[in-house]
Amino acid sequence: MVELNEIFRILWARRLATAIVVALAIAAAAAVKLSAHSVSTGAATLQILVDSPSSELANLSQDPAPLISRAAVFAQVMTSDAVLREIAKSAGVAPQQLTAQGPYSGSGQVLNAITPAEARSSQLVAEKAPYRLTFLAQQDQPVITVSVQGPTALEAARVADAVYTGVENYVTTAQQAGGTPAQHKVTLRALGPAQAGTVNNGSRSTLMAAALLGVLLLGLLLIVGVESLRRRNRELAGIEDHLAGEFDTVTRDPRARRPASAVGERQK
Amino acid sequence: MSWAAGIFQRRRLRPVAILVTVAALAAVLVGYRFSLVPPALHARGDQLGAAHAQVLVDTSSSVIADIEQLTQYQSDLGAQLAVNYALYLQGYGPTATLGRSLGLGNRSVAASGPFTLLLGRSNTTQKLPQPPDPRLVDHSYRLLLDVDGSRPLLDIYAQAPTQEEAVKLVDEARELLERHVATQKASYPLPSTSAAVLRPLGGTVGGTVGAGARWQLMGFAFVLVMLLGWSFLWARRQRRARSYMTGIAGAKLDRLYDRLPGCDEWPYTTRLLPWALAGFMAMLFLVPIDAITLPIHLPVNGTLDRPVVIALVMLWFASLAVMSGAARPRLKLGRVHVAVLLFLGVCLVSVAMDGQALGNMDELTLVVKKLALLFSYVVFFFIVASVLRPREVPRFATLMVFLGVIVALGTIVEYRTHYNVFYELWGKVLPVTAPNLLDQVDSIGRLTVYGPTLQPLELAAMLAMVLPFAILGAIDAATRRRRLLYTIAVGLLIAGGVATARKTSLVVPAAVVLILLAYRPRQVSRLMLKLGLLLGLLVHFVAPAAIGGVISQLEPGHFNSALTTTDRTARYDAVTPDVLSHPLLGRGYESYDPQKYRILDNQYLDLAITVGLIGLLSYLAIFATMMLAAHTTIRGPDPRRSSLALGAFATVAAIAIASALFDVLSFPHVPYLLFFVGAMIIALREPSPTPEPARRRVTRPVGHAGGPAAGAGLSRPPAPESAREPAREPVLAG
Repeated sequence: MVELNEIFRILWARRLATAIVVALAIAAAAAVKLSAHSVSTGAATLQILVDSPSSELANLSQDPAPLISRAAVFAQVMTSDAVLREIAKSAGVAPQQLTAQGPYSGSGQVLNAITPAEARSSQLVAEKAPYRLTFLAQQDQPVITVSVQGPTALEAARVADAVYTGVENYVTTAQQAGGTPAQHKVTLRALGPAQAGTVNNGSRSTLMAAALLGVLLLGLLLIVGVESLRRRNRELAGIEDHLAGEFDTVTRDPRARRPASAVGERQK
Repeated sequence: MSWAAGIFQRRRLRPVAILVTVAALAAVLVGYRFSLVPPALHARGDQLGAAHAQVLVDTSSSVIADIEQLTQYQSDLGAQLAVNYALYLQGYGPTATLGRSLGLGNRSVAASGPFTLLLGRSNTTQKLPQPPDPRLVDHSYRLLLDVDGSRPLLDIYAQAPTQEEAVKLVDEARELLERHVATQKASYPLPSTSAAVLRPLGGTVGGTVGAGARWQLMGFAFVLVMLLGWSFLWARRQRRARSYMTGIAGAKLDRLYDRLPGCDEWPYTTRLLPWALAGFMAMLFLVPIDAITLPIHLPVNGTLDRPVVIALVMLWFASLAVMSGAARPRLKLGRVHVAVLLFLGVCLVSVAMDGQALGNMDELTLVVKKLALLFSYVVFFFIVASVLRPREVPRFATLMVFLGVIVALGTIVEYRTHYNVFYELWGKVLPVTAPNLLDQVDSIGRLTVYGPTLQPLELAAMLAMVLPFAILGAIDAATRRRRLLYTIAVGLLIAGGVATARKTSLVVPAAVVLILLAYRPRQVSRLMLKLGLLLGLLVHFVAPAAIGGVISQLEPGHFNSALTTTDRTARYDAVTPDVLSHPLLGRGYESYDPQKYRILDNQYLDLAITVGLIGLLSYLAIFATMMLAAHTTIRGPDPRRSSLALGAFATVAAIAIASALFDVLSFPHVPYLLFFVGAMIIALREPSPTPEPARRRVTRPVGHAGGPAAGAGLSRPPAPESAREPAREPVLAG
């Protein structure tokens, strides 16, 4: 057991090592700050209406049920690689920077399912993507809510706006390929521009503090631990030598032998 | 001379050379496996290739493009078709075909799913005997088909040793399905509006999980073997001196049975800190702390334990500033402290290392909360270890048994009347959020009994932690009355545990009894034989049918088939990618949100994912150091200290076992208790402060250097720098 003042004494005696540990801790915190520049702190949402050419909003005789069913399908189709590539192209970012793989936080949490290893592997591959997209179809409206997390609010909003363009491009391509008549064409309408804001503002400071404290704690423990071990080693070696000396005395000189009871008395 | 020096050098270097060779061999074995015919090294599958693609079950004029193509009815039909396709691809024929196309010869790929739409999960249907699988299945190549049952989409996932193979598996599966659908359509032509069209939604996306895992694991194995080997060599070289030192240290300890007049120990003390600790223990046992959030603003979390820990810290600092002599808390850094701090340090570093991904997935808030909770545990441990005295340990152990009995009685009342005393009474004075399943029946028909906790497993573990102290109390009792009281306490604690209807309530106490038997075979077996029948009757009458319910869960037929067991075993495979993606330091302490991912019910598994192997080892080191310290005291000369240390040892072992059954660090009752017991173990290794005449102005006693050998009266005493005479107790004269 090392007492508190002893710990300070050890650290003072190993000033250089302590200074190196402190410097390393500061460097680690700085490195974390630099590497954490792409941590998502921006969030944006957008709503897309799945509609017909004669808008559901304007047509009283149109049954919205098929559109609601379609919105649910669209929300899932939008997570596909094909649509994400279109969105990435519209947003001007690399497709690898976008993911729509779970698990989701916030409103998308309802989409989380307990995933087996095979599906979890795919989620892990996409874990570092800076833009995370969630598509949520509403229960009784043909509306899809798009949520985007990005490095900043501005960038998240840019990608959210690109979702509408990207999906529309994808649908248009499908309509052209299938020769869909104009009156049957699925029509997507963005319900206003993306709403963006800043979230998790303190995440970089949290990470810096964790790095600083973690490295400092482990480093100081290492110094105190090594020094305590060295002292203990010296202590035990001294006793070992001492015991060996006693043993030699006893074995060589019979007069030095004492009855065991006497030793016991003295120990008491 | 040079020849002799060479021999000396060689002798000293030999163990090092052997150690390095063994460590290198261990590292190679971790990364590769040997085959004799032909003799070769094969890389182990410690990296995974993953791939994913989606297929839309569509019509010729796409539902995505054409407003006329999709009604709710059609959507349901498409979804049903998607389920059929998912099940088709799992058949014997398709999996064998896929195995052949991947070059696996006569081996099939493993196929499963769906997981979003839950099929085949039931606790009530009779489990029929399953014939053995006639196929040879290669489980390295896995296909997973997923549908949600309401949308016409099929997700195809694959996992294989490499990314290329995973992508190929997905592509082959998709092509096989398309061929199958085309064959069906050709055999019975349908109008274009009815015929299903499989529409791939983009290409197959692949990636690698755990790309650098092999080298990390090999390096870890090398360092671990080196450290273990070095520790072994060091201990072996100095074993004589160490046993001598241990003997001297043991001789310096006073006997707890002996009276020490004028001592200032709880409950006969005016020191505030031990009283505060007793209060904290009472709160821990009697108050549902994690269900009470106070309406006060704290930086992280307002649950009841936080403000109390903050108050304890302030009181501790005040004592440090005002008190002097033995009344002053003494902070010492021992092995247990180092293990605890090491764990905290690794947890912090793990968060910093994977911070970017955690930030992207919006998981930092949870991590910060969990870190704050861990910090509370650590602070609590440091405070208790610096305050507790050896003569206070038996009294606190008695307090724990007393409080445990109250909890057990409350649990039995809840089991029999569905009335939770703790939640109901505290709900009248504090804002308590009762759990949703309070006194409800769970999916396999068990009543969820909470007591003062937030989880029945936590309650069962808490009662099991107190049990060893009650058993040893019954063994060591000086009077018949005390023995009877302790025996009743044992019965109530077991009855309270089984009233939770969890397997843990029998598994952990059984392990506790086995540990006690290993140390005190005659005394414990005699007690159990004498009181076994009485305890059985007591448990049966106090909590009727509970013990039968728990035993039936442990019967061979039920144990392996209940969802509580199968889900636990399924997790080992499901979390492999998570472990491999960050094998050494994990993805960040407690960042694996059970609400988002899956409930693991296993602290070790959780730590393997979140703090990696290094963090897991440092967590185990907490148990190991506590148990090692307790073991030395158990083998010491003082029977009272030995008995208490054995109780603490069994309690720590109970938590080590319970950690494999649920995520103990998330439920504060158990970790706080663990750290309290850890501090008790440390206190038992210290001599009691001796009373000294009181002085008006109390000053710190001046320690004098005196080696251990000095106490033994040896001629040439070594003088270790850290060894000091224990601080003396200031007491008022007269």
